[in-house]
Amino acid sequence: MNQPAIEWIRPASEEMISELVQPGRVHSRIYTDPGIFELEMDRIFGRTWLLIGHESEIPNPGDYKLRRMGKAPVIFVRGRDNTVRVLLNRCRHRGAQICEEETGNTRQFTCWFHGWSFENTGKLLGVTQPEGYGHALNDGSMDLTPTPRMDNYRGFIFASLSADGGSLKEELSLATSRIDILVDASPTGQLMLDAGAHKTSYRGNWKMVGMDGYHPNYLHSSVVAAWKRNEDSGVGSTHRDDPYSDGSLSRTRDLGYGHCQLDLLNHRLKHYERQCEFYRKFPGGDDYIAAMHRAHGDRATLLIAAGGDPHVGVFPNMQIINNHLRIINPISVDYTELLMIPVKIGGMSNELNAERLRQHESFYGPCGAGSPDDAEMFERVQVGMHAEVNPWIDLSRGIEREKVDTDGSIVGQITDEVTQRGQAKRWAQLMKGK
Amino acid sequence: MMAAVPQQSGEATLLRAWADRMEVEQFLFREAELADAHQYTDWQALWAKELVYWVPANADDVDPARQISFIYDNRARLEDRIFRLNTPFAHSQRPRPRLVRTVANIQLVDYDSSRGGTVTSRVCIGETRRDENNIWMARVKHVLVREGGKLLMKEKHVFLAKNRASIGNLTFLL
Repeated sequence: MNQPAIEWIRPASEEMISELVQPGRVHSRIYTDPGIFELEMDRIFGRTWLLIGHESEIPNPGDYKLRRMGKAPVIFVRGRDNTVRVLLNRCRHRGAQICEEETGNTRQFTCWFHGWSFENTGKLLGVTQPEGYGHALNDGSMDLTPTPRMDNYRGFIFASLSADGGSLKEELSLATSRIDILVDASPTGQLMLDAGAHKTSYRGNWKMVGMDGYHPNYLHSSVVAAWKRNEDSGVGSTHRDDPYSDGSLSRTRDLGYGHCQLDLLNHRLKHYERQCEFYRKFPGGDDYIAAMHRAHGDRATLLIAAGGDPHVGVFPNMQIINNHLRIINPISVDYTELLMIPVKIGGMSNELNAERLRQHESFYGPCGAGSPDDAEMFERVQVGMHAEVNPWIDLSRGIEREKVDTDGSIVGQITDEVTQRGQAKRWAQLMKGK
Repeated sequence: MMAAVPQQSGEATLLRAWADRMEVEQFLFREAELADAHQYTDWQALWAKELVYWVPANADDVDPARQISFIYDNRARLEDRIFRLNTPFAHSQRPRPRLVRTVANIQLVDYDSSRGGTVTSRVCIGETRRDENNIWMARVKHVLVREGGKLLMKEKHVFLAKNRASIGNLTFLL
């Protein structure tokens, strides 16, 4: 295991991957080896469904955001025909990135290398001195390239760089009902991801952003202590009565396909009345609660208690945590960018949605009380893992007490490493090329 | 925005303006010293009771009621921030970075020494932590008030030059 990466990973045999991911432990090279990272870009980010964004981020024709699919830069754009597309951000001529501004509204994309231009639908608009080609290029053959596949689940846009593979619905699998927890937090099913984003980074591998129910009381003890002074401060209102103790009703879940969840729903359900009181502190709180009951009937209580937070990770690049949608962008084996996009909920008053923003800022983003401490730990892990005399990362917590639940998910206590094992299992499966 | 200019000539007026400027400068320098030295509680004591500590994200002109900021603290949120930094468990500040900031281009805008007013400046913060160096540049707006004879911060807006690119750890006091 101490040969240079290129020699020992090139065969990328099933045996090699199996050796790296074992029951209850993984080899640290999966987080540190540049050869493994390259293979991930092909076999995971080049093949699976990846979250691109939410359609409300680009509400008007011409609106766009720049996004990434593994290493590939893409444009998430609503065309003049009001159709949402994911286009590869490279000129069809010599390959220059044609859109530079991270966000904006435009009728066309122009490549300033040789002056080629494309509509916001991707259609080739014009080529400078076209007579040089001897034949017309505007027959569709030189339009901007769309991703081979794109699909939409309740407003969330996914795309794949591979033409082959299972459908989005099939591969989201049990995660769909978790995404519903967020969408159905609106009595009208409307989400607004129009509040901007926090873009953060850490010097560590992308897979460290997981779903971990073990760390909050330890790593975030400074925040837990602040919640004890005022249980409504920050995101404290969604963490009453310690959801991260094994005595709680919270659970970890492996939903299959690498998707995983800190299932806090039953724990939060106990605090339904307190959650309603919290909403009522703001103008429109009562209206929201009433509208939820009208729209969702018996399910409203659970949905209100959940506060739109399924706490779910959708492998490999999406999470919905507290009040935000997160996109994980692997940049290199030891550098990762996170896009944290706060979600406003249709049917909530402006004051309630403003409070959601304040809650988000309290814990997340580069100035928050939580995520910079997480990032600090990821960086310490990235350094520590290079001590390879004993190279194993232990993920065995709860392996002897996990069970298969009625919905087919694997379930464990909230501090159990069910989630990490679920991700490792899917990772190995994909890396074997299956 | 124009700096306050003496309305009439004369030595007394000039001296008055000079004294105001000296007092404001000393206040901003003291604030910078405390922030650089991670003297969180002493820094907090420079704030008025009602306060806004604002660091917008993505653009300078976002509306905090509708859009995300890096920081949009009222008193309660600022107290939480300081409380946390004062615990031994704010890991992103352990080890603490060494900070050296320069405050410059100070302009007294609509300022009156008896009430306070608006002061604009530029700040350049050098940060070194482990083997990493960062330079953070910003335009800053202070709204100062005089309470019980003392100047205090009622508002501080920090408009970071780097407000859209990815940022790792910005948990020290800006």
